[in-house]
Amino acid sequence: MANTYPTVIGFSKGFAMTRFERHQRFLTRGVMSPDIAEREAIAQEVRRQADFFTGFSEDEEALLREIWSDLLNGTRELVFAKTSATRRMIGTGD
Amino acid sequence: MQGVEREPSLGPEQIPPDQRIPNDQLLRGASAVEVIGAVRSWLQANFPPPRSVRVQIAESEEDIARIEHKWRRLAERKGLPRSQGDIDRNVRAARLFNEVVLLPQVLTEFGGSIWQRARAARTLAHEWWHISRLAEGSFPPFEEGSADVFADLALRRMTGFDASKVGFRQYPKQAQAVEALLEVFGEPWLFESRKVFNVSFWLERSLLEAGYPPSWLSKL
Repeated sequence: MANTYPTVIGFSKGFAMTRFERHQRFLTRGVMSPDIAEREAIAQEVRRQADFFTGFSEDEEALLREIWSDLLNGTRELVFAKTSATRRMIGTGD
Repeated sequence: MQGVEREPSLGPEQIPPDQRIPNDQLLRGASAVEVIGAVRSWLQANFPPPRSVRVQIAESEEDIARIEHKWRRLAERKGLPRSQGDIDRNVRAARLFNEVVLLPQVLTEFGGSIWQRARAARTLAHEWWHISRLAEGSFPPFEEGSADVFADLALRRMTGFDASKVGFRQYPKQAQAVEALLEVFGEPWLFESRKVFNVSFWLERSLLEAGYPPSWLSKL
């Protein structure tokens, strides 16, 4: 009987991950980073891969897009935080 | 060809139930916009945010472009680069200050099966948590984990469905940490995080008051 089960058999978590797990992990690394440059680099890499969000189940794709939303929305907040701090420092803030 | 019959849209009574969602009453609106309205009103009534929030729906590319144009100007007014108003077309929801826009994928889900509607409602709840935060322009610890915990809590109360067990969570590890803190401090504490101006400071203080040593805090 044909083996219909995933091609990846993991010895331990993080060692052999599915494509979904790899994408989820990559995006999450960005979301959890307080470093704007690192977040932007991850976003750039995701944008470079045209098929990053395709080829998944509907639930999986939605989850990846949720994390992607958090990555971009969070970066926006960090940029704002940094801008506000700079303005406070040079005394132009409100 | 004449008399092309429009495919009848499903009335609220005709949408098949989903056995995973015990109480789908709130999700049974006749249109996506109606369901969004119901979920939004429910969130407003049960978890009123400490500041006004704005939820917008982008039905089309034109809608996104119009909001994006407005956001770029808003970003500029707040001293940010214009590009911070950009809306990526692959996101499910975009957020700027107290505004959130739901993109077409989420809108479609709000008009889809009960399962899809529940997923979309969870997305709105997740964003609701973020935009409810009074402390603007910061990156507080546990922000995403607490958004996950809140989204599950909201969906459970809204529909009786426990989403925490089905892999909807974006950040299961951080969400677990937040749940552990919830056990120590109780639910009102979680909601306090939306009302304070400095979430990091508040978190640190509540942990110190609960007897956690500063050395532990430095690991946060």
